[in-house]
Amino acid sequence: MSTTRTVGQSFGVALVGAALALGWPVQVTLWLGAATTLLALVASVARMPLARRALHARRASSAGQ
Amino acid sequence: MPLGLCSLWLAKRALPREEPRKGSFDVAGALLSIVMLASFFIAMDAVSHAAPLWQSGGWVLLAVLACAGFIARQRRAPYPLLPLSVFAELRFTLAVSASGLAFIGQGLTFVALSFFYQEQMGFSPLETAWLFTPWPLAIMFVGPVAGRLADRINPSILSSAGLGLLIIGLIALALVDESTGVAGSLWRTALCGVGFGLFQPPNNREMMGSLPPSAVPTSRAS
Repeated sequence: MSTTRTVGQSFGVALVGAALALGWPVQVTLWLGAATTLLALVASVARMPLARRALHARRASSAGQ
Repeated sequence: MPLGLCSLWLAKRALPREEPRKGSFDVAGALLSIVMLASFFIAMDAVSHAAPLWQSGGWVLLAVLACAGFIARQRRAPYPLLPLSVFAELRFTLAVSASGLAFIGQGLTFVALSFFYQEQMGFSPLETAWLFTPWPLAIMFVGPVAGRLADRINPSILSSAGLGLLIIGLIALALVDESTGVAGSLWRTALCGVGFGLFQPPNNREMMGSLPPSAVPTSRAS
């Protein structure tokens, strides 16, 4: 969790620096932020069935106990 | 420094003491990890300062080589710093990916907005800081609630809903212009904070819950 956070934030900051150095408007970097978050949403949605199965298994296990 | 010393003192008091096992620390892996992360950060800094291509490229190359060395070392080490087997668990890998991408989005927005508020909207650095305040405040209030909800509801539904709100907030921020007032900026950053607060605790739970208890320290470090 901590490495993901540090690397992710540093990468984001570097992307802003690169975009500004290339002369892109600030709004473009904000759209880039929305785009990377959209990719995060795709990853989050992709694991939904797996998480549902794990939740049912945990409930079944605690009901059995 | 004072805060760091204070946390060091608290950690020394609160953390359980364990007898170190001889040879259980992967020194070579740690050194490769330091080279990998340090050269990555220097490369990112070089990119953001529009350094010559050979300079940023050289640091990127060093980071890639150190990364390859780190992976090779982790495959052979008796006590790896990062057991690569954890990535065989798809739930863990997807949770780490979602977290990394969301933090990239957050990092991008924080830095870009501070430039935008100061240079294009004419706010002072202090006013800009105030405009950001709803984001961490919302995380502070929503995070604990989301953590409790994740006990009862599928955590990936909660984290996906949080990311959905975060995207709406980020798009709303990207549409901010000089005519947007203080209130307009505040609700947008608050919405981002609510989304991030709803996303993070369930996602962390997924990260830790998808691995056996012995691998939980690995999930926290990754």
